[in-house]
Amino acid sequence: MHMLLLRPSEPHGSRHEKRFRLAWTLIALLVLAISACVPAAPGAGGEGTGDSAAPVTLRVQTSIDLYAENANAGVLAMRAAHEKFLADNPHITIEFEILPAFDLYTQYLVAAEGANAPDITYQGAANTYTLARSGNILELNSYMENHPFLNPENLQSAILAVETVEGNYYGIPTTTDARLLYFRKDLFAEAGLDPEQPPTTREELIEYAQTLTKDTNGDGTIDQWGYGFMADNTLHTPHMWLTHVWAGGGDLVDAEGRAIYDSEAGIAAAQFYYDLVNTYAVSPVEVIATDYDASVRALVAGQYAMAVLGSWSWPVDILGALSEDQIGWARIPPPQGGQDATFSGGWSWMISKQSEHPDEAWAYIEALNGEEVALELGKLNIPTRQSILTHPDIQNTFVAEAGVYAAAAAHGNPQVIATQALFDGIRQALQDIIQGNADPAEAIQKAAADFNAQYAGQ
Amino acid sequence: MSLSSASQKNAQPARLEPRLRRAVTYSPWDYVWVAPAAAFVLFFTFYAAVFAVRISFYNYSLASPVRPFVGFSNYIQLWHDPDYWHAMGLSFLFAAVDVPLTIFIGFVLALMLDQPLPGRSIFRSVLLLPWVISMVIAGYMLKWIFADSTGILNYFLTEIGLDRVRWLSTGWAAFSTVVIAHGWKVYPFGMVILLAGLQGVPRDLYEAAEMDGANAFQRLLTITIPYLMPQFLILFILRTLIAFNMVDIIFAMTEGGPGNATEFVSYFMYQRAFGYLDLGYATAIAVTILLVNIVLSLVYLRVLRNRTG
Amino acid sequence: MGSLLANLTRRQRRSISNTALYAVLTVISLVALFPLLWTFMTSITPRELVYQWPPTLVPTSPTLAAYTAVLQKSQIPRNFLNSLIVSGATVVLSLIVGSLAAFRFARGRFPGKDLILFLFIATIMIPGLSNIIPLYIVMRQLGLLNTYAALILVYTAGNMPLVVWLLRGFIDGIPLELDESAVLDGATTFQVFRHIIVPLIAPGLSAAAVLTFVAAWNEFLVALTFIQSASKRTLQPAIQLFVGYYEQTEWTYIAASTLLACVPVVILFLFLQRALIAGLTAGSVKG
Repeated sequence: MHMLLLRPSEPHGSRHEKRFRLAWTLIALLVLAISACVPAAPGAGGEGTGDSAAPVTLRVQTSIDLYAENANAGVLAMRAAHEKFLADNPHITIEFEILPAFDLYTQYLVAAEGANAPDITYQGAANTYTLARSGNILELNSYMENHPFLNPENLQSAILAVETVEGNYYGIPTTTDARLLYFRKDLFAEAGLDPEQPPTTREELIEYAQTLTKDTNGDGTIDQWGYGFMADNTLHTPHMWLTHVWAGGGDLVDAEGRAIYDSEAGIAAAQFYYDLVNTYAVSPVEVIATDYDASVRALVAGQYAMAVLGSWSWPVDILGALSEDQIGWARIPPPQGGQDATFSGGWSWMISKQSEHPDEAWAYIEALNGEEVALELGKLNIPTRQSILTHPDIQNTFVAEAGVYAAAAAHGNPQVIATQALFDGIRQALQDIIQGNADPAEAIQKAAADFNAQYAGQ
Repeated sequence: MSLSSASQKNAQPARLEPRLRRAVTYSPWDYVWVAPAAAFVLFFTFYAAVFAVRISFYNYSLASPVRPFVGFSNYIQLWHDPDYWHAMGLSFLFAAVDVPLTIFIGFVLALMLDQPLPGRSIFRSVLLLPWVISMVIAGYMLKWIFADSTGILNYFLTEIGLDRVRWLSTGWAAFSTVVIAHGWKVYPFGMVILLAGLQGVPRDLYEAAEMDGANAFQRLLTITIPYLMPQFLILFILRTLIAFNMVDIIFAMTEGGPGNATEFVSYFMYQRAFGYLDLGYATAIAVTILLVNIVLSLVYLRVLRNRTG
Repeated sequence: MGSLLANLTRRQRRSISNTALYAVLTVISLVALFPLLWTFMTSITPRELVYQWPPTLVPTSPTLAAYTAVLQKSQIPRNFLNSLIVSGATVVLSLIVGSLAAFRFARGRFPGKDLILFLFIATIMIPGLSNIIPLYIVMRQLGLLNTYAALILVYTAGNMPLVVWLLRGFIDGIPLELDESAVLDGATTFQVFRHIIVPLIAPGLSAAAVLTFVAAWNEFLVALTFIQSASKRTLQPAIQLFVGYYEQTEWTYIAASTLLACVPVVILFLFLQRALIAGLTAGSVKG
């Protein structure tokens, strides 16, 4: 380029040629400075020597960065297992392809479409069914059956249901979760409510929320909302709303893959969201633009007195900021006469059908999901394995109790290919309803009808 | 973009003998000179585009290994899809607001920065800065600033005694937020193009007009704007293309919400392709966007060309 | 008001209007800069105080912790280098290939020229999004996935219409007589290109270089899709890794790495701002 650009004969360009040269020199210096900071790639190196096995490289696509600066105990245990695996298998090299959780699904499918899928991928439970049906991932029956720890019988029922597609098993889940009602005991006490008696029905929830909704500093705007919930643009919105549909006895899709959430229970759940914001004014309309992280912070800061959020936030994000005298958790209150229901997701390791080394890939997944790792992860969120749930370190802790709730009340993701379309329709309808732009019943019925017209049975 | 006028412009007075002129302008080797560039465009743009058009005639889902040919069924489905029309309408609305607005802002700034002002190059550099951030990252940062309850912007508003604006949780506000964010990100390009154009306006024309008693506004209307018509034309075309293809900022800021208030046709296509994995449907949408782009470009060419005379 | 102004000399009027202009430009610049200023303030806020409410405009205890973390504990320096390699190579390739073509599109009279040029420039109308999957398949067939080359080729193709159009306009402004006299002196076409055209279109090349560099530097979706390894990833998708879904978004890291990512482009603009405007002026943007 310099040859092209820096012709000395050019009359009126000479001034900026100098500038141009200066700019590139500065950039070159910058490159040098930056490259001085470039850390050696972690996990690189480790040439296999003296081993008869042919070298194998496994590409692992995941959102977990084993070498992240703020890695939690579960990730640290995973890192130890990873390093042990590398030491035990010098002929295997692991190449991580780290992506944000919300990019994994799309990026995996694009790679698979281009016949360039990673050997191992880490996927959310919402997409297990679609991935399995697309024929892109390997069924793990022969690996899982009779495995002392990773066998299907040892899995919690809700997550087992998600990982099983047409009788085959497709994923090794790291953790599972449940949506819970969190409530601020201190704010309960302040408002004259019994801090040990969280609401047990939807009606009670509304009643308590009304008591808890306050303008604490008297400036004319409410700064403590009785109840916060997820209604932003992410999958959290349909996930959490569905708990209210199930609690009322409704369901999401039928066996033919038709949307049936426009049932009486579904309309009641939509009406519930409408009422929270518009009739009782116990939740701010801003919930439709408040992401998960911000919702947790609102709860911790006392802007929400109660909120339905995920179990994974309890050990670190919530108890890191508040004591158990200040906050508690409870089951999500069903409507009167309804049943306990929560939503349970999770993330799982899967092997691509395109992998040329499925056995090595399995060996790696097996190493990363050993009992020690599962135990550490299990302290942070609900363990996926029955044997971990009954482990002495886990028994009588939060995760064990939440695990009991999940085992009894959890529903998983639907088994439809067009999951994203299904959830997108629900999310849009709910946001319109919450803003008061649409009649709850009509909007929910229209969303279900639109889905059925275009995607039913897929 | 007068592609045909280029060659005529070269036809300068025949001073040299035709044989020599031929030696300069006619050569079969010209194809070789053009070939590398053509190869890039053919291979990485046209081929991919033709491939994409072909996909639009299939029921092509990333989630299914079976991809039957379905003829025009994706297009027919599109025709009957109210969400598509909503998204397309929203994109037209966005283009109608965003394109003139950003060009107008760029023009005003260009006029100011064209004044012989000491230190104007500092202002020029500073006002170019929004260009340096990538669209996605700008989207995340602006979402952070516009956030309803934790954003600095609402903090300012309440500090000066105004009400909070629910920037991202009301439909019209989210739409406006996207217009503001996108406008902030793209005005510098128009500013630079117009500023460059202003350098080409002959100064003696201004002086002559001034002597004829034309005021500044009249000079703007009769000299500056007509002279900048080519720049305006280019900007209108490029801006419209960008407005109809903008995904990054939506992806980072609103994800089409709340409801479907910011589900522009570009994001609608992105969702259908990479969310719903319905590539056949998505490419059919892409084809319609292409058609809109072509038609609008032709309209601009015609209108602004006639204006210039 | 009018009579007051009339009593002033031309110079006085000038200085009044200059002052007004300064005021207006300063206000506009502050508004335009605000998002970047706030990004900077976020980047020097201690991580645990990012969500403090009410926010402080200037952090009370500023820290460079985010920069240290990003530079020493993340892959950002590596990503930075990758972005420089990819964007630099894109600039070089686009300018070489583009100027060769622009030269003959401006000077040549070969059959089909106008049609080829039209198709060339019309490609900017093709929505880039729908091309991602076909391009991915092409790159896999070429064995280029997860390489810098994949990005460089796609970016070069994407920039080609703009570069050719810009440079062709530029060359059109150079009198044909210069070529002719060189040919009279026995120069070959390539020598004409090398010794007459290239020096004269240097401002256009600088402008094209800036436009190409910024476009390549800031591209997101292709970079996210075509590069899988952390060691080859470019900056924009790497910064996105700090965005949380289940956990906290690392705003201070995003802010710090965003500002680091701006540095090369800011340098380019600072030094080439005049060249950019000069390059876009000289007859290049034309109807």
